[in-house]
Amino acid sequence: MLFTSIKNNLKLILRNKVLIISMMLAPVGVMWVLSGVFEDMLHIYSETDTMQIAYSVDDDSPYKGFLDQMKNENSMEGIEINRYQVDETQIESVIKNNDIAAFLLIGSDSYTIYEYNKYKNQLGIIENVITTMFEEMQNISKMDIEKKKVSYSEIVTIDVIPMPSSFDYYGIIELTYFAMCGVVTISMVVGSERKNRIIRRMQVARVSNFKVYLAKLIPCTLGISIELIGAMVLSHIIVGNRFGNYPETIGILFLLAVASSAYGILALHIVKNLAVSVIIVFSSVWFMGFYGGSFQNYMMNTAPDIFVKLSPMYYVNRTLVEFRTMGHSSYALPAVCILIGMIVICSLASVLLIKREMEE
Amino acid sequence: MRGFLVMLKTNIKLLLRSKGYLCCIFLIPILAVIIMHGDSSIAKEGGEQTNRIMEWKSISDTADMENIKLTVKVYDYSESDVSSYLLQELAQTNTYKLYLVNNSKEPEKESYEDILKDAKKTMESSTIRAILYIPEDFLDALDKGEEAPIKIIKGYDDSRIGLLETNIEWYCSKIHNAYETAVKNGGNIETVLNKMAEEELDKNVIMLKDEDSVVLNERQQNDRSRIGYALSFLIISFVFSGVFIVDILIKENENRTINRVKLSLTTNRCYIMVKVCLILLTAIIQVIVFGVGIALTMGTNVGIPYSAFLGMVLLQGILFNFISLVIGVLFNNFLGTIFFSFTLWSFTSLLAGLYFPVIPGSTIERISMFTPQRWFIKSTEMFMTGKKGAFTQYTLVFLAFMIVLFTISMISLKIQEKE
Repeated sequence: MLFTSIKNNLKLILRNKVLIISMMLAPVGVMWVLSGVFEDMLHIYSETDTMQIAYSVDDDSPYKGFLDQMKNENSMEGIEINRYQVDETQIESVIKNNDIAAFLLIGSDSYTIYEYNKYKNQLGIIENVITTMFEEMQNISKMDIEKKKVSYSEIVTIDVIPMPSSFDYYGIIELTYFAMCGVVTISMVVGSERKNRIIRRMQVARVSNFKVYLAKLIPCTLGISIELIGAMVLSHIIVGNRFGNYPETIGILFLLAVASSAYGILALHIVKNLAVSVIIVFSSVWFMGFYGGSFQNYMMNTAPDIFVKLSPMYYVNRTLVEFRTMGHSSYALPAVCILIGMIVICSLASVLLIKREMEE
Repeated sequence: MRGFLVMLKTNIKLLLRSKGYLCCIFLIPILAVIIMHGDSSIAKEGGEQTNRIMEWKSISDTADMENIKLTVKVYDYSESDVSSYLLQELAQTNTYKLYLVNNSKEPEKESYEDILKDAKKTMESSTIRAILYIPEDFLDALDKGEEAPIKIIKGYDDSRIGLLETNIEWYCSKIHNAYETAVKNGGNIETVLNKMAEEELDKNVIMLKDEDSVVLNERQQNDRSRIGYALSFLIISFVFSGVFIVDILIKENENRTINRVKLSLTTNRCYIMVKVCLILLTAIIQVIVFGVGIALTMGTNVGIPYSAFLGMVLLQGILFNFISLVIGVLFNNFLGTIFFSFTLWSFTSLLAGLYFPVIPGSTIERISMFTPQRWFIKSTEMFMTGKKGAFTQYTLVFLAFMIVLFTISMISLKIQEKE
């Protein structure tokens, strides 16, 4: 009996192809947007590309010899410098046509740097190099710097938790977010169950409450798992994210699918109106996600700590992200405990509610 | 005409009976009013700043979305002219964004060990990539030739930190030199440094841009993000009120009410007019609730002209109510309509930059042009920067969206009829 109901419900779930496909596409779409938007924020700067800069200097300028020498010796690492003899009005077109990051126009007592906004990530470095170069040129003759014996500063490196790239971060986080919204997978089935008075028939066949519950939980979990697998493959192709510790990650995602099903089914039984229960689940998951790092990353989230700690998604998100960045996570155990707790509590409550429903 | 009025009356009665609909027209717009009061946004843009030494306020200030400069937290315990010279020189290289801890505001100076302990959390939870520590006895240390008085604390391997070190070495050697000159000539080190600064070549920087992007100041950015959040809440109320309106339509289909209506010699056009009127009425009520709420609680100063603001919100209201109606007609299923309109709301709001600014010129920005919310934000920005034609542009875009929607619904109705 149980097997037949599971099979039937699973069939009903899989028949709704539009829903299954949109549940696979939705996380990938959100991942794609968020990882692009927050790319800079999570970026650790390390530029290896050569930057193009150009300069224009008069033949009688005192700086000409120095700049020409620099050009020939290629003395600045990562910067290629070329001379263009153009006047001020042509600079903009030279920059845009030749795709140059910056143009240096040298006058007698001042210099102007034209910076191309397209290379805004590199401009800070270019401007730094140019500024210090002019200072050195000016001062080297005046300052009788003895070879200094000591250094003035030192770099102290401390251990930090590695920063995930925005693609890895949102690639993982949005999967868990949409998995939590998995109630939609079963809601249509529950809808048709109510319409066709299946519960009444089950009652006649003397099926236990627990079996009625399992007949929803198992297909819903399977449905969410299928959606998750699809989303994982798609996101890997489109966004290019990866996971760490595959066996553990998949284990936790599976637990999450069960917990999400249990949570959703409970909501469907608490409120009789399908639409309202779906809205309740969606909005509660939104809050969990908001504080758990689904939109703004949890590292830089400015939300009060207490709300963050209350969100079950925070633990799951952090575990999966740390699996990727470090290969282990101290949040794994709490995450598993919370998910199992959710499954047990929601299941018990659902069974009780089903019992009441059957008795009515 | 009589049929029209009767249908309108019955529809309104049915709607008022639904708690969800009431929630959409009263509760959510009031929530949006509360959201409008909220301060600050999830993420900030770098914006155009001339001063690159800023006061450190809290860690939340430093999570910059546009993280293009090396962000450094600075502890200057020396508080001397020399150390501020060093910071000024670092700032004018335009590579760093310096957040200076204000010693007078801190109850107690943290020791270097405390700073080291604190550094881990600071760097993990912000875009700060380096911490600069200038000790109290910085000048003495320079004088005595002590090894490495200044500490640069780093966590992540940002390649610009090497540049920071080189810069500090260079400016410190300048300071050291000035110090020696001052001692030799019996002068003051500050005068020597000032003289050196005067002799430097003038630097001008001109930024060339590809797109004509809008530059907003901090207050305007705040206004825009508040409007964005509030609009997001309002749109969910618009979308769902539309869903409730379409729910009646679906039920009328199921119960064959439409056939009975036709038998009473009421035309199809009249039936459609009733639905359109309902949409208009709903949108107007929602905007009134929201508008009055804002006017009563925070006044009419929202950063852009109030009437234009409400007018734009109203057009969004009509549009999104209509979108839900079209979705409902296409799906002919209440639950499917809810899912689809909810997904549409979440995705378009995200894409349009209601929660965070969209980077100009990016692929996301180009795609976001297909969402009505993006045009709302664009027009808001135009109003803020005082550009002309914002409302006209917005209205034209609104009409374009309406025409597209109308065409889609007409074509799909025809197809459905044929089937």
